[in-house]
Amino acid sequence: MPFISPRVAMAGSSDRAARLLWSSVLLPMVVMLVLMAVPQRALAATGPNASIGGLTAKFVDVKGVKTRYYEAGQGVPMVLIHGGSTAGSSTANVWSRNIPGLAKRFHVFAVDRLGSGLTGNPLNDADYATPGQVEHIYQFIQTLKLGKIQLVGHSAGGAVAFYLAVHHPEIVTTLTIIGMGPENPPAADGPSRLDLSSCPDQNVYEGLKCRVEKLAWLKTTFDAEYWEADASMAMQPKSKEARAKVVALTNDAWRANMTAYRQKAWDLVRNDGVLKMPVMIYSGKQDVLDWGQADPTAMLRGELGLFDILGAKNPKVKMVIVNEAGHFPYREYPEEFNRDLLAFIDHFQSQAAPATKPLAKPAK
Amino acid sequence: MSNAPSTHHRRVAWWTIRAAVLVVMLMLSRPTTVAAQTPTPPPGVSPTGSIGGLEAKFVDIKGVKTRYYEAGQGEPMVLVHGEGWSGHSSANTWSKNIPGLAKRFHVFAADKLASGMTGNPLNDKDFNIQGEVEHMYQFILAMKVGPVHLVGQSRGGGCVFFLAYLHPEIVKTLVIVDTGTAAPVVGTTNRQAVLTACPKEPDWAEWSCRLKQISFLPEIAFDDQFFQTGRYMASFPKSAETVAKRKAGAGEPLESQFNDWKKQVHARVEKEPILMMPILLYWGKDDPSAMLKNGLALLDVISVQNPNVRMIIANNSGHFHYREHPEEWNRNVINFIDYWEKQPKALPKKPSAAVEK
Repeated sequence: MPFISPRVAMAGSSDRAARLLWSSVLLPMVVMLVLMAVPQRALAATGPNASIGGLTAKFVDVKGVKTRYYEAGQGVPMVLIHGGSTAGSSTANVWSRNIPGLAKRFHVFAVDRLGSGLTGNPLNDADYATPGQVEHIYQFIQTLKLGKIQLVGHSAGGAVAFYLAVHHPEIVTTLTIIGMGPENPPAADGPSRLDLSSCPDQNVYEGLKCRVEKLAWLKTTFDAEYWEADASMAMQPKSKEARAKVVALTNDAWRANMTAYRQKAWDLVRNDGVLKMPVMIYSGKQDVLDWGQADPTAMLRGELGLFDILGAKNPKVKMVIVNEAGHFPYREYPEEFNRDLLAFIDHFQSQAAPATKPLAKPAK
Repeated sequence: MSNAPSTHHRRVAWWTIRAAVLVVMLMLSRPTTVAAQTPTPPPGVSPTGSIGGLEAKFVDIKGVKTRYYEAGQGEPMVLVHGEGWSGHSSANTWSKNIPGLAKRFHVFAADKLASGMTGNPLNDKDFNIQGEVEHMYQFILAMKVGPVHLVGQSRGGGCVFFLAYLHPEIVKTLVIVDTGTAAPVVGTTNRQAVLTACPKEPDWAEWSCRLKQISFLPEIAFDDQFFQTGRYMASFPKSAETVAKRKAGAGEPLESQFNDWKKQVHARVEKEPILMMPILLYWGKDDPSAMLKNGLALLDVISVQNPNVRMIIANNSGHFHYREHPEEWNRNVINFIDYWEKQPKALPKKPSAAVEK
């Protein structure tokens, strides 16, 4: 269609009015239409249901809670559990760079935790606590009839994975904890290098997003597409409701319950040695969460402490430390993490009997 | 004949004298210098000190007869054993790993200078780690395989660390296993405590006790043949000469300046991009000798300039965990090398520094 200059088309005394209409209304509309027609990076191509990375999330009802998850690949099932606080700034989207590669070898499920992402809020307030989170994942696995799984958890999701493995060891073939999940006694002493002083309050989404950015080491860990999807989920009414609920529910009794739950799990591990499946602890060397403020480099005391406790009764524990990597090493080096995870799982699958013959050792 | 009895006596006397002279000559003709003796291996021990179904061979490296294993095809990999300056410490330590690694690599494992059945340095001033490094470097050049994947444990971990520092162009990837030699000194270790139960003599008894004490699964790591073979190699005259020379101060002054030299090397490695090949530190959590805290300190040194550094910590693992868990150890090393072989050379060194060091 030939373009007719508005100046030619609208000649005469109404010329100025016409030019005004064109420059302030019509031209911008044309520009916008053109921009919308042309794919642009700035307008991130987030899929439906806040999907990113070319993946497509879907939903399943888990004991009355509509649960969002990604599913890809075939073979032995693998479940990935994201970190962060409830309706905080982490969802199953955090695994977007790993799912395609892992799906070549496993039937991968990455799920939004109870109250997080686009998964619904708990039906009972009590389930906002960690045991409720753990039970939701367990019921997700039962609902989809996954049987025995390879379990991977990051940060707070690592805690969920840990508790799931402690209370339901029969369904966990291997356990991978990234970035120090369960707060282990004793946790690292003193404040960490995570500096939130320049972040908005942690009670608002912008504060949570700021915190996540500070936990990453590389600048490329999160991109515009990731944040657009993340914001869309975090700003849902049900997400705001969840965050407000958690604040309202967290009192001394709540904290005491959590401490008791955690302590019981640790006692089961330390005294009864219930965690017998192969465990991999995966850490970024520059994880500010495990980096004491006074230390020149991250001492990784929390993760090494976790190793001490898990390894005391379980020979099949392994720890990996990645240089130039922060709290999200699997997102910062996805190909390497996937490969390391495969190598870890493959080795222990090939072991018919325990690889070691523990002998009585004198106490050190 | 009236003098027959005296002739008889004289004949007997002559024969006695001849016999005595013969005996004396025989005694004098026996090699009296220790260096000329070659011990006989006991039953079950190979004359070349070979174990594990492998067969060692020899090559001249700048005048030093060097014993080594060679197996497999593929990219070249060189394994460097620990301890040193003794006949009992040798490439035999890698016997449980070589067959598996040889499926993927062209594996070389040599006895270091003056260790195992490799000869002593020609010059007394080379009785130190610098001499060991130079000898191993010349061995790698002599094999004519180009840059290698270099692996070392304990004092051999020190050897490969300094070799990579001095000659980075021949090191493709570097694997350092349980070493106090390469690591910064961090407090004391538990080594002395676990060794109190060991006899000081004889050499092979002290050695075999020590190896078991610093292992987590000693019955899996070592068998009797391993120790008897080491004992045999230590019985060579050149091994006694090694001990004597070291006692007499060979290797000085560099030998007693080692810790200062190491500090300088660490300082340079932290400041300049010298050690930039992919590096894996692989540590046994239960090693009382090269303790984890030393490994973590070494990780700190190397990590400053080099982004391509990884550490694996293995549970239920002592000083010789590659012998305690050989399949797992091989798999982890192969996985590390496989990944880094596919990476582009130039990786971002660091993002804009998030923290002050």
